[in-house]
Amino acid sequence: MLERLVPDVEAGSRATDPQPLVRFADVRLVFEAAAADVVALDGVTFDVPLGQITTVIGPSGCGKTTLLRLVAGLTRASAGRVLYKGEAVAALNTEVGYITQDSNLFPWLTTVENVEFPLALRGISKPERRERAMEWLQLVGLSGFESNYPNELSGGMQKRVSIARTLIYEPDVVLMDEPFGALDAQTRMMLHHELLQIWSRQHNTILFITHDLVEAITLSDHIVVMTKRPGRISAQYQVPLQRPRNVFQIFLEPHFDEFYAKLWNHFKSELPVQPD
Amino acid sequence: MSTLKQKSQSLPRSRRRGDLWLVPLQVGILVVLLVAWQLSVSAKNLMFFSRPTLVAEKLYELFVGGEIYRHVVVTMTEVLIGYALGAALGLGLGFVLGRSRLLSKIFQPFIIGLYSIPKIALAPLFIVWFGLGMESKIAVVVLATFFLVFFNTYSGLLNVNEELVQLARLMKATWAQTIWRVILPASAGQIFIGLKTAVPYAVIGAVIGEYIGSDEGLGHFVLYSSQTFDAPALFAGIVVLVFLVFTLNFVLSVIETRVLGWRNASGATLQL
Repeated sequence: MLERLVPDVEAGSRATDPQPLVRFADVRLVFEAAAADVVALDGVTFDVPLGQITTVIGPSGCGKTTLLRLVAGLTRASAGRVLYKGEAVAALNTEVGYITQDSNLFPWLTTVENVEFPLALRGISKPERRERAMEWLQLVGLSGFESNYPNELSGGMQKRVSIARTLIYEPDVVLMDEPFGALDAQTRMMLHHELLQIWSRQHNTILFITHDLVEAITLSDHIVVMTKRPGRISAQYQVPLQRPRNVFQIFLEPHFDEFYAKLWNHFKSELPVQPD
Repeated sequence: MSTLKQKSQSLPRSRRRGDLWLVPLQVGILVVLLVAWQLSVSAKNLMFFSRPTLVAEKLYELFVGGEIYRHVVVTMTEVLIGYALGAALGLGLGFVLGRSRLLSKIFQPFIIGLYSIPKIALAPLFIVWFGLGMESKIAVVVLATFFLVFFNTYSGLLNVNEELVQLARLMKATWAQTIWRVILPASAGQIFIGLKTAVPYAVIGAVIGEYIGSDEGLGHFVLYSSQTFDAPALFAGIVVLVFLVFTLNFVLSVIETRVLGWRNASGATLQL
């Protein structure tokens, strides 16, 4: 049945990229539980190409977050391999930046101290790291809030700090786990806009997880669709929309409608209740 | 944007201003209680209950005459040495067991077992082991302090958000950096609860130790006063003990405010 779904792979050229930054090769992950083992991922194969935004979409509980944990070395695959720059991930991968679902700021540090944190770990001198942190705060629109503590900031502001704290140390790949899921629609659009602004300058490699089709289309170059548990890849798409994109009116971008319809047709087959 | 910022900065100040009525109220309650005590004690039972004025006179006498200093110094020394040792042991073990699931599993029954022993009941044993001097009282204080600091440190560490630890590790933090910059600040609130609740118990431990066998210290002074039916001296001794606990707690609170100052910033959520 799965084979029937898979042929619609438009990302054929990407799948054979000689040296992707991250490659999932037939990854299987089984969680051992008392009652019965749970197969979270099965036969997952896809590439995360350098300098692109790759988004994984799938229904909740399909093991999307686990994909990021595998790249970060926080979880080990039961079978198959997760390759990072051609090498199997065997330990904690400190070359990645991880932006979690919750902002996870350090509540005892001010905004600027949070952003500086990764630089402080690297022994960068205080004046230099302060200067770089202030630049990043300006980039994410938080100048003037540098001495506020996280619990004084709104959810959207915390998210901006969390993004700045990760991008400041220039990780080779940025893992983003539904980072904008808990935000209201307007704030989310603002953050999509800001993220794409930053990305258009730096071309970070981003592996983004979401269950929101519009968010996936807005941000990505490359979309990987996963099935519900056990998580398998059911299709991969290249997003046909041109960059730069107007995130505030993404519906008006050429090709949005037909691409959304195609993605939705595919995605709805994974939902527990079949809509019309 | 700037107005929002000003609002947030003025918040702690307004809270402090809001607290200004608190101290007068507390002093007022104290005065009412003292006056009630003063007026309710009749000549018949004066011998048992004394009076605040008599206690105050006695305190003055004790400090001017200098008789009390020896006892204060002895008890203070026992408390400070015992507290420092007990807190250090509690912090150390709490940290190790809080981070190691294996060790925590192995030692849990032992810890629970030890915890269920009434520490004070060991005081006579300590006097047999360590003699009538300060060492036996220090041992009681160590034990009383240790458990409170240990349990709070341990539970503080178990409650550290593991995602913060993992994020720091992914950001290339060494284990030393992770402990100093993440685990310690994240658990500091709970650790301070342990350190602060341990203070009165440390003082009680020293006093009980002195009750059981000693010829100096505030515990000895209070016991001696009670045996000689010197009620003003007994209450004076208790006042000094209470003052001692307040002083130690004050010192800890000052340290806590410095370490956990970020907590006072809560409440004012800004919108952008």
